Amino acid sequence: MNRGIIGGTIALAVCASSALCWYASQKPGPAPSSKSDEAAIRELRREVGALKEARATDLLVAAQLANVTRAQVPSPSGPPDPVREPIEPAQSPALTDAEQEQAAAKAEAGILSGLERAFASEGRDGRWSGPTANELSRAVREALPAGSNVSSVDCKSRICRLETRHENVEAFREFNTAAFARTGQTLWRGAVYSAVREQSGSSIVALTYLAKEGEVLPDTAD
Amino acid sequence: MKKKLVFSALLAFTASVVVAGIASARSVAAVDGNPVVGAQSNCFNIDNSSGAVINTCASAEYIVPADVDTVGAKSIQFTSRATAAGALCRAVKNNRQGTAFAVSAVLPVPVAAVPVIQATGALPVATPSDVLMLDCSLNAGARLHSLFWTP
Repeated sequence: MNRGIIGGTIALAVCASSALCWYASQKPGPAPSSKSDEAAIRELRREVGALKEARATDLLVAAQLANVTRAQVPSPSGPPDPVREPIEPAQSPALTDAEQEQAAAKAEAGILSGLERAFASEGRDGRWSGPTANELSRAVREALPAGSNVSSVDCKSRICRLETRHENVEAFREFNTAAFARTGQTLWRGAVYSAVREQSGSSIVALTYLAKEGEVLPDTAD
Repeated sequence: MKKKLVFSALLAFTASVVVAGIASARSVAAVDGNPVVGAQSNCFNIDNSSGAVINTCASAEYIVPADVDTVGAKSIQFTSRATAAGALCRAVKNNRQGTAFAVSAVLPVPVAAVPVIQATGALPVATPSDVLMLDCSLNAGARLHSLFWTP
């Protein structure tokens, strides 16, 4: 019996210490704690609003520009936001930018390979694949910038695969912006993964995988 | 007695795991975001008590960045509500070069009296420098309250 009590006490102690650690790591929420705080927050938010108005740009497009970093994402100018405290990235700081880019490129290639395998192993649903591929092909051609073209469109039972060629990376970004980047105007309501597969001097080849609405793209990130 | 001991230890372990999971999550109020189109800056009112944004125009787009620290499949939970059907949200991800772009399926913002929590589909984050965000197309009266994700 005593051992049971000791065990329970240990369990409670572990729970309590975990809860304390968790509490210590929590950031304060957005709710103000007093009226003076509330007034200060209101004032800061007004300032933030003014700054945002001045800086408001199309972030979806900006996110596709080459030199965008997280540090450039507009953030409130008020007191240090605890939620936005700089946190060391998971990658080793010893890695150079080139090495990090290389690792990222490898990971992205892995995601594309995983999606390619998933698509290749999928069966075909004739009732969905044909009409969907035709409709997708039509919509994509309308969204392509001049100089870009569709190499192939294929749909199976849950995923469509689209291969496009573009003159350069800017044209690829332009295509993604026109086709998928705006939530209210996207030509596909399901999940999409679109990435450059090959880059040569004169053109690039991009692959886009599109999941049927209500389905998810296979998780190939890990 | 042994059963009690084992049960207690199991309970403690489970609690530690759950607490550790919660501690690694991050949240921001929607006010931390931005209108997608500069001209729509005046469309959004801020609820100072909650940090929610409310669209006052017929339709306007709003995004909230969700910075990431680790790689893997990332989903964003968000709290929102609308007064009429038509508002939509989804997660968007891009890399720094703009060469690997992903979006989750579109989720309708529910027409409800109180904010509703939903989770977007997961997107593959290949590097911590990837840009992840919630992108919403909000109709008049639609509110976006907060985001919650594992960075």
